[in-house]
Amino acid sequence: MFDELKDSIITGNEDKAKELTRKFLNEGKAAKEILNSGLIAGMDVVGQRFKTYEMYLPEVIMSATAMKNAMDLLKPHLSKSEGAAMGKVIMATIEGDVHDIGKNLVSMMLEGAGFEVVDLGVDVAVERIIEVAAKESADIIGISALLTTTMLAMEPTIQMIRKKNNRVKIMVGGSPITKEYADKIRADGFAPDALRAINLAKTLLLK
Amino acid sequence: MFIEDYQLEGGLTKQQLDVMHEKALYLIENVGINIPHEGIVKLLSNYDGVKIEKDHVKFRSDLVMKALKAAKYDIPEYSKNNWIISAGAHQTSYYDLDTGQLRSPTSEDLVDLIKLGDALDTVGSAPVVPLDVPIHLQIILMHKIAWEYSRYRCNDIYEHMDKPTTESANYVYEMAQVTDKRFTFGVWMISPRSFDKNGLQVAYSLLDKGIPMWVSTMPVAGVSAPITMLGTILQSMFEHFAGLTMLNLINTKANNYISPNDAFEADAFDMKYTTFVYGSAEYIRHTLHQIALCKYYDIPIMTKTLLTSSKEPDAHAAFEIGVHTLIAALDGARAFRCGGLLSTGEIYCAEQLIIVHEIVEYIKNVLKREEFSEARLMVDEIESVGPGQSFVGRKSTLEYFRKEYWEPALFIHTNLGQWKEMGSKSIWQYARELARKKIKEHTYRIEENKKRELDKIYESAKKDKKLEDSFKFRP
Repeated sequence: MFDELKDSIITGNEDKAKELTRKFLNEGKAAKEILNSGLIAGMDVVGQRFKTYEMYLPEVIMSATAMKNAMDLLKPHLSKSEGAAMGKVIMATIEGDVHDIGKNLVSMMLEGAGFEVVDLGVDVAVERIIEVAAKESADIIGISALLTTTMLAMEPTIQMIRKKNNRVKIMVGGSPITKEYADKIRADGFAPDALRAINLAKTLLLK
Repeated sequence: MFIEDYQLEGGLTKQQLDVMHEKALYLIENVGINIPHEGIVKLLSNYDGVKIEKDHVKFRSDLVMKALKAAKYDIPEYSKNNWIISAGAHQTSYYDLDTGQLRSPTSEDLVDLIKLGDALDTVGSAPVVPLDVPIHLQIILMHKIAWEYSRYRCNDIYEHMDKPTTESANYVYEMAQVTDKRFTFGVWMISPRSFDKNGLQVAYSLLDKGIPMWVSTMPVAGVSAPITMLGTILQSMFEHFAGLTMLNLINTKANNYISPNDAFEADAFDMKYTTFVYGSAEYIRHTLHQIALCKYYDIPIMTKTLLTSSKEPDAHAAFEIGVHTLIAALDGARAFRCGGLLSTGEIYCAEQLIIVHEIVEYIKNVLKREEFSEARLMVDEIESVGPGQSFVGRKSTLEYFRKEYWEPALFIHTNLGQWKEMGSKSIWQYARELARKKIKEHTYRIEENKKRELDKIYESAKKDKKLEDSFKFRP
């Protein structure tokens, strides 16, 4: 029944996804069923195809956008627990660094995967990250750096976040970051690209 | 600039370049850029033709044209009419010359790689970041080693070293003063249409020193620029020109220019693997457009042909680099960048530098001008050597054979038996042996009195708390 909706997500057809979501709601279908069997089922296929390099980044972004917009229609009809995002992630490029291509991709992909994302932008002071993470009761903080000089700010940033908030998980990424470096600075996780960042975020929620 | 026997035809026409030029001026005057630095914006507010709204700045076209006209490119004597290889820079992963394993580079590696680069007459910045020294000393040490052990590295228009803080820039400046080395500062635009704020701050702090400054930008197709190659190149032109205009208005005590290293750079992006792409067919086309633009604006041509997405010095790397460099050379390029880099600039490899050096030597010999003369037609020799006789013992053969044929150092012409007898080595092994030999035999050192000055400055940098703090972030 929800195959057409699922396909609209896979093909990134935002208008169709919204139209079908509205139609199912008008027909009295359960919002949770529309979500699980249509939207999430579609994004699962997208994630899998991106992982196996069958789908390309712009296509994935379109799918994520279709998912997000359809979800906005669905949200008022879901109970608080049903409508809750998979988790809440604060995203930021580290202080001193203004590069955000990778960070923006991760933010978009996280939203498409059902996370609620608060994107603080670039050159973000640690105090702001801590403040917003506390205010939003964030589950995860994602920090990005492109430069070898600014990536070194990650260690003290993580230390300071941990001092104030021991519950939140911290994931790091960016061109010069390696898994070894992430382990060394005691990040909870590292992802080399946007898709793996989504998988990492899902794993971190279970920890 | 170069005498050409063979040339490519086609590519962007003069009329098309005129259109792109007009569009770039339109964007600068009507769309503008962000300059997130209060002091610089205040300086710009003194000029007619600069429209400012908070940190958003638009320049009138005549200011842009003035900046383009004023730009000065100091081409060093040794690179005039010569083929130039610029070795890759700033790497934090390195193929160990003994084990062949990837690891973090050290100060010792930096010395070895600078020696190797000097032995091969390379220009450019320091190849690797010495990760065994504290962060605040790395850039200073990279300049020190480059100047101590090489003639051309970090010392001409082809260098593009970072100076991340004012304090570190001041140390490098002091070292340049005592060694008579070149010191410049580059500001990077962050596409689309903005700047690295920290870079602007360092530039602002250096304005009184009369230092040549350059601008660079690297818009990425489909990500930080439009998806089409021409759209990305246009954005690159717009950003380069706007950045140059800003420098021309604020850095009035010295010359300013577009860095030839990344002039009109427009990066391709692979939407499948979400990576930058260098060495691809499209990137080669971009190089041809870049060369056309450099000729149009009279900017020295430096092409990024020595880059590859391959992870090892293999057939993939050799093909991409060989084809790219040959095509660029046929279009007039004689300066080639990123030697020794692999994985689109994520790895430094000494063997790869040896290989690309050989590729460039090979191409030089492909494009070598054929001297046409009666003597070289050798009619007399053909007449003199009859059926059943040989030319091997002729004086003319002895006289010409070394000049007539290039003798490769790496792509040697052994037969199968000779190759087996020599150990059946791969090209990687030959390159490794050659790299080790060149490092061992390298002799250049800076004058002893200058070295002492460099040591003194470096020692004082080690003890400088303010320098150390400038690299510390507020946590």
